[in-house]
Amino acid sequence: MTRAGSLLITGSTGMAGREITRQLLTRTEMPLTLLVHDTGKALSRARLLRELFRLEPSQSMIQRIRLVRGDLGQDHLGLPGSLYADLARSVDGIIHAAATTRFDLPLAEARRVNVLATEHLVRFARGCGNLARFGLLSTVFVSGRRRGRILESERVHTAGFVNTYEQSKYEAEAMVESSDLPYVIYRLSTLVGDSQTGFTSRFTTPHQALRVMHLGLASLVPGMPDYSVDLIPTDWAAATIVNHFLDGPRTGRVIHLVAGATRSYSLAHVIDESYELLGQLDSAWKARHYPKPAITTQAAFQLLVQSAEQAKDPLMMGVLGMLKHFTEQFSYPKEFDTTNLNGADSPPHIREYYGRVVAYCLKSRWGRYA
Amino acid sequence: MKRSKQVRSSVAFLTELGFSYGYVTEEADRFDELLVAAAQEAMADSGRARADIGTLFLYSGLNPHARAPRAGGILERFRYPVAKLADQLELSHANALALSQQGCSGLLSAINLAAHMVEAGGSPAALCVAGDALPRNANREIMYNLMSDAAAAVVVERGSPRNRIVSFHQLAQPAYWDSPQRERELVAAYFPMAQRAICAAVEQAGLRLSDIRWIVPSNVSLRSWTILAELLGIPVSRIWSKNIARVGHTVCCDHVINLRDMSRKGALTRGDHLLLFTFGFGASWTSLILQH
Repeated sequence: MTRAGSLLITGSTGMAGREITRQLLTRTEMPLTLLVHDTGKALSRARLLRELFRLEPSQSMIQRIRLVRGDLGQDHLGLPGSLYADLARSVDGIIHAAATTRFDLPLAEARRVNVLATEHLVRFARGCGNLARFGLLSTVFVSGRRRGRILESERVHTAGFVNTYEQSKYEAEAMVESSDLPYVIYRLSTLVGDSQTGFTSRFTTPHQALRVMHLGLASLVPGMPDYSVDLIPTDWAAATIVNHFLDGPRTGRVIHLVAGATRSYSLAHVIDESYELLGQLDSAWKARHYPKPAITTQAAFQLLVQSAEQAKDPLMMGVLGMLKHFTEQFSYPKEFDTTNLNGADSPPHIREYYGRVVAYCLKSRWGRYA
Repeated sequence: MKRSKQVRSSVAFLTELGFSYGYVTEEADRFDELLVAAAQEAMADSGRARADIGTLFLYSGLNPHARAPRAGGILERFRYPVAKLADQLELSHANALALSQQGCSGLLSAINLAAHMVEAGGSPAALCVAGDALPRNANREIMYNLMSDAAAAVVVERGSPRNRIVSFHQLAQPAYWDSPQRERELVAAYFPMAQRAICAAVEQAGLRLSDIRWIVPSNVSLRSWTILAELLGIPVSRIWSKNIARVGHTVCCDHVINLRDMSRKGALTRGDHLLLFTFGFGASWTSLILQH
């Protein structure tokens, strides 16, 4: 695609969007328009570069960034008409990374953030006269409760979904697919942190699961012990998306960004490894002798959840509630087709960097001291 | 109990967990009489003469007999319930020992100790008595369980013709000693540790789980046993759970009460392997395998 115009990025303060923006800033000279919500409003561009993207701000870098405060949930992206029209003229590429990745939202709320926002952005993109590419970040778990091999070329299914995040991203994909835009959909598995430093800007489900283990509150995990837990490093995912977005030959396709079974731990192994690493890194924790959670059936896990809910135990409800919205996936083993990655570098094996992620979680106390 | 605020949860929730009744000692200062009655029944049932009983173990985890010393009355601390029980049972020749601080694992541990003593020689039998009554108007819900007051007793004999001890296995986690502070962690640890303790006991006995005819439960919630059955991969029907609703959970008398009732109801056949399991504060996860 041409690199003369401006690239509009939504969700540049999020886990994936932040790393994508960082790489675009360091690896290209492209002007970037960052459509930000309130998170970025109070920051100057220099502070944004330093605090959000961990970059030393140079004058040229500052000048390449255009900060636009908007709201994807509103018509015209919440922008004044003139600004909206100006952006439509100048933008020649869009990466839509903004999303809620919470699994526990009511469907209407998840749709409002993930589907309605996409609808507004698609409408905007249609008005961009020079648009060469529209990238949507999505999830491989739009496949929901399907099992077995999941092709990049297929989306539609009737298997149902484990949570509202999956369903809302499925619907967002459908909207983009049915548009006449030059789209590429990047379906990511689960981002877990930087492969070199372990850094993560968001402490998402795998980090929270690790925290539950650290708190000694991990009791039961529903699923299959040999389920392949597909985790990918944020830096690899961002680099792969940036490379493809800038140089990829074709639009109108879906790309799976996954580690695959050969570069992943099984569910039983990831639990073992988490306990091993926590013990190595935190001797006080090791002395508490917390047992590893038992891997069990959905039925048994649901009974435990039900007990915590009925007993109105807020801590256990929080812990089990967090787990219940994603662990159901551990009962639907999948293998993801990666044909469209087309020779891109593979991610490292989880064993090469998981220790760094665990160390970062411990050091930052899951974000408290980030 | 709900009216007297001894339970916090709704009756519907407790019922769903499997509880219908709990037993409350109305006259806590007459709790001794329950201990004596249980011990006398066990001795009568065994057919043993008093002279055969060389050791008396009393397990009382909550120690309802402990009283604050009166002013200047430090001797109050030396009013030993086990000596009183030995006196009441006319077991003056027996070595009387009290055990405490293993919670619900207490009686199974006492049985294990007694078995080692009678096997080692000396007297051919030991009497293990256990009993606890919660303080008056105490909250009777502990970690999703309804607590009852109870006493129970069992005679452990050398070469007993029934309920031979096959294996005893206890997984201890003393790091969990501070039960109030670590209540949530204990709830979380319960199932994975229970699974490990049961599987280890079965393996130690040279058996498979499928060889166990009955799991004789502590009368904690039926729901927790349903979860544990799923974890172990056994049908919940192999857990003799009939007393959970009727009796509730006592500190450590459940297994003996259940075994007696199983026997009376004809649930036991000679040669059956029985697995008795419980969790005790402290913390320990304890399994005792018997062959009936």
